[in-house]
Amino acid sequence: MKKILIIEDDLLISSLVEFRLKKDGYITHLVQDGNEGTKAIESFDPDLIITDVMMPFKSGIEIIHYARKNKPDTPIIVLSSLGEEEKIVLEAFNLGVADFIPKPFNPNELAIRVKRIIR
Amino acid sequence: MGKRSTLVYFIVVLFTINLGESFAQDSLPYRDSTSFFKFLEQQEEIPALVYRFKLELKEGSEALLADSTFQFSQLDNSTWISKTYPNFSSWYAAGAEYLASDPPLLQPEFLVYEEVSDYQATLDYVSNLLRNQDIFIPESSLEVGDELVMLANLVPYEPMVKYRFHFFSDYKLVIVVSLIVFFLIMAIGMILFMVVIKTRHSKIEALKEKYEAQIIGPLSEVLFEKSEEEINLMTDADIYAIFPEKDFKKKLFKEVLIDKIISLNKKMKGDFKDKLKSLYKKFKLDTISYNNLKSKRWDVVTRGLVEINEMDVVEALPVVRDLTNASNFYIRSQSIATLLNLSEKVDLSTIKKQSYPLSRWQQMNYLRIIKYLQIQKSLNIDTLFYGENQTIRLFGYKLVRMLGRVDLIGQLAEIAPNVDDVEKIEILKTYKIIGIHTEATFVNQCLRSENPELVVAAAKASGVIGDQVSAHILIELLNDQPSFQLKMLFLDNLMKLDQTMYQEYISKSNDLELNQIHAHLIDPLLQHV
Repeated sequence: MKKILIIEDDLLISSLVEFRLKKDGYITHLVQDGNEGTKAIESFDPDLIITDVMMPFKSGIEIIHYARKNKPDTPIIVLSSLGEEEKIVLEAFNLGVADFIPKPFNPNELAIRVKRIIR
Repeated sequence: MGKRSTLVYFIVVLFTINLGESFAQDSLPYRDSTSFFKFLEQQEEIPALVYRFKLELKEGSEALLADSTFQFSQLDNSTWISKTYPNFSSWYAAGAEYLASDPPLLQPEFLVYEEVSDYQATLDYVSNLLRNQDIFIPESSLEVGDELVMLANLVPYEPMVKYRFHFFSDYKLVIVVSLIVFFLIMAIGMILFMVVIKTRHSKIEALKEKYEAQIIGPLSEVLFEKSEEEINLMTDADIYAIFPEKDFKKKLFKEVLIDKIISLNKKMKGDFKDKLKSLYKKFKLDTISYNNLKSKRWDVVTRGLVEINEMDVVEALPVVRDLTNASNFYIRSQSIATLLNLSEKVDLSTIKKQSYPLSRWQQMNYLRIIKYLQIQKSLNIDTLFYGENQTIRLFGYKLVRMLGRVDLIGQLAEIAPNVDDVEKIEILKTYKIIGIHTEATFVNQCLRSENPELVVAAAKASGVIGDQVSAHILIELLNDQPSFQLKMLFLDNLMKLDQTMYQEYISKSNDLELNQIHAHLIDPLLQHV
């Protein structure tokens, strides 16, 4: 079974995403800040990372940098608000993220994108 | 007895019983007439205080008159007074025998500044000297002998601490003690208050965390497992199967639930939004939001308005409408935003009726909503031109240019000549931005105004929408030798308006400043500076 790491400081959103992905049979791991995120990348060894951008301790961009360096083959989906600066979104894509999903979002749509990327 | 009465009673008791007595005893070395006389005996002399005897002639006292020790002199037919003694000891030694006889043959008399003074006045006088440190308490103890007790018996007994409220006679002490007690009570009160608040806050936070944990799982399940129709058909029993009935009926639980649903509503889209709205109504959370609108606290009302706006509780719109002219800024702003968002048939007459001025922040907020709404709804922006206060009318003129409503220029042109200068300036900006060349006459009228601010606005507009007359007026204004800034403005707009007239004017001019401005304006690097 595929493993998905969710790094999101909003517990409600992350729980909802986790609930939806578990329904599709994925193994999920939830962390709420950047520091925990980098640790979990090593310990959980995910097949896909879903990360927010604005988070405590380390931003999503730092997480992407870290993942690209240590797990270059792990795809990443960035889940962030539309109000995010264009520069950040472009930087995320330049770093090679697989997808960018703006908030507000539909969890079912996220599940479809996850399925497409992880297949 | 209420808490306040208890506190007052406590303070009064504190002052009148304990402190009152202790003060009197501690500050003066005597507490009755006997110890007072002992004190006088121990003093060498007291400034301006002397002693003498008074003799009332009666049987057995004639022999005393002959005693040269006292040097009696007659005061009236039956009363004689002795010489004065500056020292209490010598005075008392001379007359102790007669003072102690029964009945006493001599009466003591005290003179302060040569005036006969009774016991109380003498006592007060000596006490004042002590307080002012004109005399000092002798080091020897106040042991009272029998003789002095007998002498004291001659003075009618009057307790020094006559009343418990005697404490209040020293106002300085009362103030100091009051301040100390006040700060002490305040400090204790504040500490207690903080402890209570902190404990309560921690309890609430802990409960919120507990409720959050209880809510997230079941809420996710409902959102993914049930369709909107199924949610609408849920019964109370279904709800209590999701959330424990005991907790669900608690106000705090519902507040946390509202927070979570609204937070999700902001971050979700698609059918999830509709499901969240259905859940909100099914859980009867809309009633809480509705009731919040009736609160006396502005923050609660504003929270209610935000909830109603987010969750589309259209049933609350009549109450929301009543709040649009509230005295509180936040209630007013949020209620109008809610009304604009939720009303099926909405126009801007609600804003028009506002008697309070619109702040720039409110204008920005409304503009954001109006920009979004004008695509779907007819907003009747022109109604704002006839608003009750000037800020609303100015907002109307701004909306015309920000939304590019050329169709409203006709109405604007009708009212423009009759409004005041501030509004004329705003209308000129609108004409300029949209490029209304048909209103050059109005621009020219404004160029001839006595108000320099209006002239500046008209000059700026003339560069874009002016005509030949405007160019002539600009030249006239330049000939009036205005300030450097105005010269630059007029020249700049003359150049934009009519290059030929501009060149002609510059070529004829000998003004060095005008030529410098001209050089600046035609320099490709400087012309936008």
